[in-house]
Amino acid sequence: MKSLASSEEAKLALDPKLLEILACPNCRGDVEYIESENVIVCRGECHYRYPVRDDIPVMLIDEAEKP
Amino acid sequence: MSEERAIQEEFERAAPAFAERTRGRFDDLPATGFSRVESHETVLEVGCGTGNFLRQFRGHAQRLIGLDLTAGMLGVAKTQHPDLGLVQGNARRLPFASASVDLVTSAQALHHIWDPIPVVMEMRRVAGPQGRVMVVDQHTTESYEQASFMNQLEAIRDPSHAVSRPPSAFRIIITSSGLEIVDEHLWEGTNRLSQWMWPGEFPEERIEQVRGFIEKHGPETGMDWERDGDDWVFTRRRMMILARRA
Repeated sequence: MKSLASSEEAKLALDPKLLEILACPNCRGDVEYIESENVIVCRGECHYRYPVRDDIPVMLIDEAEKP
Repeated sequence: MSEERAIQEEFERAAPAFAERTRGRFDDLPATGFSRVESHETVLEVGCGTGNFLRQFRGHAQRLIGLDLTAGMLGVAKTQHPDLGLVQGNARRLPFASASVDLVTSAQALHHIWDPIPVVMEMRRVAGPQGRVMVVDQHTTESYEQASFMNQLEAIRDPSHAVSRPPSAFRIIITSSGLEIVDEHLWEGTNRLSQWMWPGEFPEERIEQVRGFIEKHGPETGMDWERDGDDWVFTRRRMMILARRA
């Protein structure tokens, strides 16, 4: 489980400009970073949820949590 | 094993020593000037590894983003180059919006990929109508036989190696991906076996297998292997291609 401290770091480390150009690799939809869950969620068709590990978005379809 | 899994296995294993071994390997390549990068631009490297290539654009571009398949390599990149924006992802499905990056590049990555056209097409999509795509990779001679022997050698050295190609094949890959070539640059340098297969990074038995292959087939690889004491020296050839949407 991630500590609060590392979640806080992740929040600060994810560059808003990087988030602007990220897209879902599955459906190519826009994505949104949910700070409280430290997860990147597809707002397009598939709604896949991508983890963020050590402040690095893991945008791999195989690693996404699927609804 | 899938191509992706082979790459992840090899580079998770190699990550701790990789940055050290490959430090400076791109320093002789005039990549930033060749790329025509401008100070306001965003640069994305597909298959950034530990960031040794991408870091060269520091001070030449506004924003540097690196994508890699392997978490271990990205972990090293993050420690060594904290200013890079890093993303773990697959080159076949880039997690970036279309036309969102000015310069999309890859260095020493395509020889890990058997079927590179879908990857270059993804790079083209992310670069958009106004963007540029730059591919940098090692290359073989134009001799089919030499290329075949060089690839046998490379596959012994690195199980995630797919295929090194001659310059003519890179031109076909680029144009078949819906791009037109703006410029190209061929580079030759000298390397040593002891550096190419740094003992800190490669298992000893693999180094011995490669030595055996060089002794038997070195002249057939087109890599100009020459013995130098206990070591071997050889010619490393790289190609840079700059392209835009056709």
